[in-house]
Amino acid sequence: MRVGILIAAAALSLGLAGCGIAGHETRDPAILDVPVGFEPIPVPAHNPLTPAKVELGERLFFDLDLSEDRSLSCASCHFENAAFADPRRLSPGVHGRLGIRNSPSLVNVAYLNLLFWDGGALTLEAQALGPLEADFEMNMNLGDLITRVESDPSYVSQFEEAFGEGPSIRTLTQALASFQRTIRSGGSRYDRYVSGAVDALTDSERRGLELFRGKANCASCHKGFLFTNQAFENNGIEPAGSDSGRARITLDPADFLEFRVPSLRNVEKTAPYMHDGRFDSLEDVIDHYDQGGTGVRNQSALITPLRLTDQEKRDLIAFLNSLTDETILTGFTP
Amino acid sequence: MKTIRTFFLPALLASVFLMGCDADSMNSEEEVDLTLRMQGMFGSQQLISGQTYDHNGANITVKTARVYLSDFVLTTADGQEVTVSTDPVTVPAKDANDNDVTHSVTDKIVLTKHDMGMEYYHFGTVPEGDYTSMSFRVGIVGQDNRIDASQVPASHPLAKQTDKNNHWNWANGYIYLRLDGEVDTDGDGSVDEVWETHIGKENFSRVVSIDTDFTLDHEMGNLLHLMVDYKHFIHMVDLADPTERLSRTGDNLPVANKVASMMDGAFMIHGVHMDEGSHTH
Repeated sequence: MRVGILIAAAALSLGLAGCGIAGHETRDPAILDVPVGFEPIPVPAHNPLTPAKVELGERLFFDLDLSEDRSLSCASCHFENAAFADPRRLSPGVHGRLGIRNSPSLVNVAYLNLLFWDGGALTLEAQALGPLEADFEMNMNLGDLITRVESDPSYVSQFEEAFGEGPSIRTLTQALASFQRTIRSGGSRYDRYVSGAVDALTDSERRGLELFRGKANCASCHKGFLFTNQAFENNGIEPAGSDSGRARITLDPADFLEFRVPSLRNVEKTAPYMHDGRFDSLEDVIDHYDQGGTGVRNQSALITPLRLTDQEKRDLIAFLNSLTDETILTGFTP
Repeated sequence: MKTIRTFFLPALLASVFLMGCDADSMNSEEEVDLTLRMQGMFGSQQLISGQTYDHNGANITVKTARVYLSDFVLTTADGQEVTVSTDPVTVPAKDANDNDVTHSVTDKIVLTKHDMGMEYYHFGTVPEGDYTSMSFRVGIVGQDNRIDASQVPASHPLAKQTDKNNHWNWANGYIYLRLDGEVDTDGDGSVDEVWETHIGKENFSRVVSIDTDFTLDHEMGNLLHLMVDYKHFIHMVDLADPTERLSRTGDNLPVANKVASMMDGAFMIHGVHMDEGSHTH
């Protein structure tokens, strides 16, 4: 097994149940506890989490055979050392084809109500087919996909063990979703701070936290234990190309250029930023919000000039960097 | 077991205080085991995948020709509405507020695959007799369109299709009409560019009602022959125009509107025949 999920020793030593990727063993998901302050992980009744499904999903996640030319796996665009995001602005698909959006982090993806930057996928199971079939990603015909998996006896036996039946669209998506539900992170210094370890954050980081909740107004959208309200907002980014965001799904002009409010956990490691990866650094992001966006049509009323000082910007970024959970970033060799 | 329920029109309903009844309980009626034949056409020609057709003066080929139909209603000569349901399949879904729910699909759904030569669909039993109209919906709407297609059993028409997709992964919902092919854009007679018309989203679903007298009889005719003209769907679309050549509904609303406006006239009942049973459903 190339990568495993286990409770990081550091997290255990702190009495936390934070999740990390750190080695080659698979943690039994039945005993997975959620990090302190997290809600229980939503697991659909039709796809209960089992070790066999997680192990199978993990194998599938890293399998290059799931792409048309056998050159890409899910992990090719979701790097563990980038908190399961992609450090490239756009991820090259098969034959070098590029899409139009940055690959988002998969950390804590189990909690998301809708998937993709525009919420176009209703469930984690359904989402799995998006990159598998997209011609600018893995470009797999679903019939060919099942045939490939069925041609490997070890896969067939793994599916039988996990589901009591062979590979199918239903079982394959359930396995991938099961693995992704185990990718959780809640072991940052910020988490230790809110658990009572007041020295876990520096003075600058604590000032940044106050700005985050106050003057900078970040917490209006980046709230809760996930640091997202799971809404779709137009944050004042000039459109690039014909991407209309959430409006492409709903066909509602009121949703024009609205995109998912992403979680900020591990944000230090998930550059570049925004739905199209246009900003290379957190400094660029803060500058965008500080100037109050660009005034693009349908911009959220929450995006207004902040008039942050240079020190305040540094403090804000320092706080954002405290959201990094080092245990989620290690152990994977692409 | 497929079941047929009958519904009276509102005036009759009020007079008899009935909400509907099973065909099985209508002892006085004979029943007929109905098969629908959906014949794919391109204008006056049989639709054949890969064949070249004329479309508004340009040569085109059609490689994919598929349409989802639902909400079938047959109206009898005495005004009863006969609806068609099928074995329920229960799957995860999201409700209108994006809450997780489970949903049972009971409606008879037809996914035509004319690019693969599929034409016959078993409807189960309906009352024998004279009918005056047939209606159906082009598309899948409501909660049926908000299910997780990845979890639908493979044998159901709403399952993810493993040959060509008729469901958007990236914009959850079914592709009601999928037409793909190539078009001659430089006038040399040879097709040279891909065209794709994919219509979905509830705004672009349409109910088609065909008022035609026909008789269903277990000895004389149990195969209802419906024709669908794919050329009619794209009659107003200029496939040689790069701005109209590709449409996945949300990214090309003008094309979606043009196609939806033509749905009503793309179907006709050819007649009723005896089902010889030499085909697969």
